[in-house]
Amino acid sequence: MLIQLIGLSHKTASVEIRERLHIEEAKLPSALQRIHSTVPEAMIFSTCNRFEILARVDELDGAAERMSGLISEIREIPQQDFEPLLYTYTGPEAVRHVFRVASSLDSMVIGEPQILGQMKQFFAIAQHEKTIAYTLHAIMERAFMVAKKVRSETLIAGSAVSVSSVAVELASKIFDKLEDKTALVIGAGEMSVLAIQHLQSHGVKSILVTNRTPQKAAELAEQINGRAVPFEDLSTCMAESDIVISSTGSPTFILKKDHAQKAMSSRRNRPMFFVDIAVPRDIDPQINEIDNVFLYDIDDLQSVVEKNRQQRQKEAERAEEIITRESELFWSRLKSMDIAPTIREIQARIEQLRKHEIELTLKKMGALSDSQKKALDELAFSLTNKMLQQSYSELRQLANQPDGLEKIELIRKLFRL
Amino acid sequence: MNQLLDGLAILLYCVSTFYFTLQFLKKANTRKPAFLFLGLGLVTHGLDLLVLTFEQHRFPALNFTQAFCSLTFATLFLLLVLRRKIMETSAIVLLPIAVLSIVLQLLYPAPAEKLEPVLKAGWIYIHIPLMILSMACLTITFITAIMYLLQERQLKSKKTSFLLERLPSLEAAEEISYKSLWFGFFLLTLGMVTGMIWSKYLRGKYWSWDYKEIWALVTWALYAILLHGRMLSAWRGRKAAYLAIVGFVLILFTFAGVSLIFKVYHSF
Repeated sequence: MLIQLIGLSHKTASVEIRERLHIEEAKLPSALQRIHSTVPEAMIFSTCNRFEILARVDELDGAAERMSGLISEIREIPQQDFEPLLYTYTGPEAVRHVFRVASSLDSMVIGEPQILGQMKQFFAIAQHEKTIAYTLHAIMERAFMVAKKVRSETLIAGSAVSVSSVAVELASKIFDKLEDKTALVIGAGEMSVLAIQHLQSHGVKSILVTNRTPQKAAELAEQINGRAVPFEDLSTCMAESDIVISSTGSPTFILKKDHAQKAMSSRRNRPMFFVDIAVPRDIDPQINEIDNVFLYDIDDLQSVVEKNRQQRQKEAERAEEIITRESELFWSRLKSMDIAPTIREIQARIEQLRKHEIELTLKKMGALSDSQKKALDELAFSLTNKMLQQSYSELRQLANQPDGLEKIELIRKLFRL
Repeated sequence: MNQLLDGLAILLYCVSTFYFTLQFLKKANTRKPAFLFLGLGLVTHGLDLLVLTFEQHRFPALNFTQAFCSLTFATLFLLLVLRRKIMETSAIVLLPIAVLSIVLQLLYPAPAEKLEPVLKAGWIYIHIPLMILSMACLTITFITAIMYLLQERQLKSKKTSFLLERLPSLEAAEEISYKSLWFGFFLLTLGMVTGMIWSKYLRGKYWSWDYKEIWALVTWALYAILLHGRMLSAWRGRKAAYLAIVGFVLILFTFAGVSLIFKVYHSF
């Protein structure tokens, strides 16, 4: 089984090269067909972080060079621009790599969920274009299964690993439902916009925006679909806000303990969550001492992120073990299921059977002339041969269907191989 | 029949505890089997109590162990109906207690023949179930108060640990805590009133200054203060949680402690 994977990713190539190689979805079919015309099976993974071709090839010698030549032709990029950045995996290594990618171990953010969906999409396109047959089909199906297994057996995608997603995660530890909560944004830092968008995607509907410059507040409010409120009304706004995100350029604290205390008493002590992503800080850390008030500044959030990253890293090690095990297991299965050796084995088995039966028959028949013996032998040979010749071509066709692997397994069972 | 059901319920609860533990430690996703076995266990436990009720023609609270066994059933049942997330986190503590209650009930069954005369009047059918139910509600208030305090400490100290992910959100814990407090208090009041009527009918007076009665009154007063504070002065969060815990300690004392220390006419 000659499987090869050639490609580059965010680990080996700059975004500039990746951009140039990237094939948009509409152009994938023609690129696939172009590659498929040189190899029996091929598929392409082209995302913003990686460009890879997985193929079953007829011979390994020079396959990688030919493939990179093809890429250069398709994308019209000089080969020397990207060739040094390419990695090549063959056989079990290629399978392992595909498993790792599908399980999001090779991603920029380990455990991110998008890659699996993207791979499923590339798989569907290749299926539709009929550029893959049973081998790649089996590899991909298994890769999806392994990815699912990794996800359910490890905590690789367990916890938030960005400041804004940590903020949302914490908010949902304070509040049961985010849908009926109000968030207040003070200032217009980029981080706070991110955090707000994250909150919105988790259901927060009512958003207030304030800024010392009313113009800026209005702009941001429009951008994130919130309501601008005058900076002077900050205290009243706080009373109706459950989540306050602050990121102003103010050199001193703009929210002090007594602000929060006032707000708390007018909101009858319903909990409040303050997120201070400004440097220098906007919110007096003392307000965390008030009952039912929770304040996290950028360092607090950052340390949660760091901790979660480390946890993912640890889980990634466990995931690698699963993948090593699975890919070895799968490779040995794949190797034995190759159609050519299966046919050879069937031939050998039939041959052995024929010889054995001839011997037995000759013993029973007693004295025969050499020509009679030869005729008998020929009869047996042509009988088995004719029967098998037909089935070999059928077998080759069967194996090329998507579920070829299972069919070959069945055939091997039939012949007790 | 009862022993068979008891054994089965113990077994089912144990299996469920096992699955809940796996889930808690995040070793595997066993939420479904955990809840399935919990459900089956509850049905068996409930059937067990039902059979007992028909056998003795009385609510299964003739002695302390029976009452305890009814209480664990009511608590688990209410919690399952109210909020699964809270059930999920507290199951690893609650289920072993439920198992213990069934075992105790097996070891110390109520003496069948010798029914105390006070237990023969009609009001018992109302007073005791009301008290048990109110205790179940207030147990839930207690559990959610503990959860609230743990989660609050995690969030305030900014330490994201093992517990943070597993505990319910503060809002959810508080909501269940408040709801169960209301129900519990309402039932406790009703239970005490029916108890007084029963007492009048049996002993000729509403109130006998029995220790059990005094402590029940103290407990009732504490919960009344807590509810009052929550409604009028917006007592929330930690303060409310601490009071709920004190209230539960009083309940436990009234339920179990008083009978052990003082001589009272309540059999438990």
